[in-house]
Amino acid sequence: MSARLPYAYRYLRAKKKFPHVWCPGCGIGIVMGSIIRAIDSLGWELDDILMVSGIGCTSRMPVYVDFNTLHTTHGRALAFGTGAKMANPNLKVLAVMGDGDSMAIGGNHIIHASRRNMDITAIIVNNNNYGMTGGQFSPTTPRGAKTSTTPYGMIEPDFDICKLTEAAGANFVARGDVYHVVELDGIIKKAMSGSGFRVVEALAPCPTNFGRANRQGDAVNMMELLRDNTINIAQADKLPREKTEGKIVRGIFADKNETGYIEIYRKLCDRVSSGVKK
Amino acid sequence: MSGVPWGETKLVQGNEAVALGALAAGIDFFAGYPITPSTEVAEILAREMPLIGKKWIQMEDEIASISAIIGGSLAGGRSMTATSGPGFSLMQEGLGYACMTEVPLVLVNVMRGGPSTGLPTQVAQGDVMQARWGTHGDHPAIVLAPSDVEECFRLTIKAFNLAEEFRTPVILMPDEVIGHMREKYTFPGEDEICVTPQASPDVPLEWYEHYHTSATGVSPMAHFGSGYRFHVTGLTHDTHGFPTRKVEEVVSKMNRLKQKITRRLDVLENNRLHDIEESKVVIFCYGSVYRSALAAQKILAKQRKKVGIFRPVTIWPFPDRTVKELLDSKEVILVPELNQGQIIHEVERLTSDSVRVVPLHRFDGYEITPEQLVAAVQEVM
Amino acid sequence: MSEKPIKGQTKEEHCETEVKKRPAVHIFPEWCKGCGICVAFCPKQVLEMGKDQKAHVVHPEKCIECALCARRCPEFAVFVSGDSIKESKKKNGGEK
Repeated sequence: MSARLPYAYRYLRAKKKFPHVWCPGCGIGIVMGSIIRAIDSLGWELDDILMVSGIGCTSRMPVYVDFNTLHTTHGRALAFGTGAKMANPNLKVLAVMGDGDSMAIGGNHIIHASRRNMDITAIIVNNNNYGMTGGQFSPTTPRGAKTSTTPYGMIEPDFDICKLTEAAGANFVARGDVYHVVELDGIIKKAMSGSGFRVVEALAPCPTNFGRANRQGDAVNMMELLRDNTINIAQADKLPREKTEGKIVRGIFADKNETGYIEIYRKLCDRVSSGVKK
Repeated sequence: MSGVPWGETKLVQGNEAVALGALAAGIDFFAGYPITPSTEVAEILAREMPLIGKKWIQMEDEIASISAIIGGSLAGGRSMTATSGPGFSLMQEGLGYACMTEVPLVLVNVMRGGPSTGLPTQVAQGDVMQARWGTHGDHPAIVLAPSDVEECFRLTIKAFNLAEEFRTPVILMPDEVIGHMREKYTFPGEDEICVTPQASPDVPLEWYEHYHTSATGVSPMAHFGSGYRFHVTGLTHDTHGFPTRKVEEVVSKMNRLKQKITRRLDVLENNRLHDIEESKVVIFCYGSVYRSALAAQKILAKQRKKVGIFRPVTIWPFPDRTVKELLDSKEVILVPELNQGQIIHEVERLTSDSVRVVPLHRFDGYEITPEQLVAAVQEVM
Repeated sequence: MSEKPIKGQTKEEHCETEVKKRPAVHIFPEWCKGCGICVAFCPKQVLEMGKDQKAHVVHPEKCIECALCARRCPEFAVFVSGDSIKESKKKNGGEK
């Protein structure tokens, strides 16, 4: 093919690492596209960006993008990112995680990153299960859903990622999905342009595991589910409750301007070091 | 007081000396989680580091702490954490990651009684094997065990230097007695201290390999944000840092991890030897037990009984060659340890059947006294 | 379209010939894994699945360059010329 390269290729390790590892119809690649478009429109330099991830399907993302990239241990992306941001505050830190990575094994870290308002943008791709290990249930698997470890249906309640991080103090909390990709582009761009801890939950299909186990059809069918079963917060507010019941609400749920941790710490240093002889 | 009291004579605690040693080595970033008996290290650095604009944070747990300092180190900060037993267990995950990804950092583990919560305020040397083999998979280990306050200061600086030179985590392991004891110590002058600067690559950006294979097995590491963009992963990786399963690349990586230590054992080996040559009985010890051994040696000398003392300061890598060379001809080697027998197996491994290797275990939370050692020596002599 | 219509052509005709000459949407077959998302959600049915289980451009003249196919392609295998972020607001027609 001799077609011109799309703008996205400037940000990809295109010659080395593609085609990527994700299954056909997996939504993670779409989220990666949204992240790249957000970076492109913000004009960020590749050298200034650190993409950090944990373990899982989503966490394979850093290998494909030409930034500073750090693929860490399971659940720890935010802890590694916190250290890197502290040591070099000029880095723009993006943490990409899956639902299992961020909510189960990394649950403690995301609560405290939210509480501290650590200056990191967390992009959580929520596909409702652990894809990489073959589709086990995660903290965001809906009640009743079948996975390889809930053969009789999920009996536990699920986490609402947005409510959890908002309550814990994150500056910015929003949810989008990969069907409504232009909306997702906008949400991710807005998340990246602020300070403090910023969370985007991106709903994405996992046709290979979750979709198959729950007879949700192929990638196209799962995209249709996202189209039909989600509703924008502005629309939801206008409609009577019975019309929105059972739908997942998309949109921005928190957009505060609290001072982020890095700035608070810098102010502490300024305050206490003023009396110290250099 | 602020910073390192260069040249001053003070009554200093072991943990305090560790914290001041870190400042002397130019620590940029500390992340930790409170745990007895190491907490003073974090407390002193919490007070001192903001005064000089350095970064300090208390994380939500020990896993987060070591993860944070790995991130900090990759982003260009000289980084350290401090913990004890249960925290050290939690840090094994990050320790293995730092070994695999060749990230310099200093981990201070002030040893207390275990297993589990054990004896939080009391002494033990139960983490010696965990420090060597605690994290899964084959991996390099550099572990230093101080025996006094001065060494807490100097070995902390050395730990930072070795971490930099070998691009690997270095563990400083005082036991609780050493961490909490106070001694008079005259700090050196600032110009008497040697700090290894952070290496940085000088190749063109496109030539940079994050894991370049040099003669020593260690290549200068670029930092995030420096303009060299690279990938870091805990997956087995090629010289550029990208995951690989190619047999030759996997073998090359694993060999290099091992050989960067084994090829430069001379740089790492550090023993304190007392009267080894002329003694038929040698006490092999480390950490706080060494102090009792010195006292016991004096008592025994008055009784005209001569014992030698062999003390590895660097306990990992173990001084195999020197132990074999100096101790294989002895009659008795007494190995007192504050555990049920850990390093004694190394001594047994390296000595012939003709050498009697005699254990002396104490694991009740109290130190081994000179009197216990004297009695043990009298029994074998 | 940057050039003026040739004499005797309507504006629409001109646009059609321009697009036919230079298709706006491209597929990289090497990267396409055949998930069918771009085909299913193209608002103008520009694309079709081929027998090779990969997406193909069959009606380039219908393309309105909304770039939803490129944005929803998880493989980065679809490229729409003229797609740029600044224009996305005007051209998000197919997204409900």
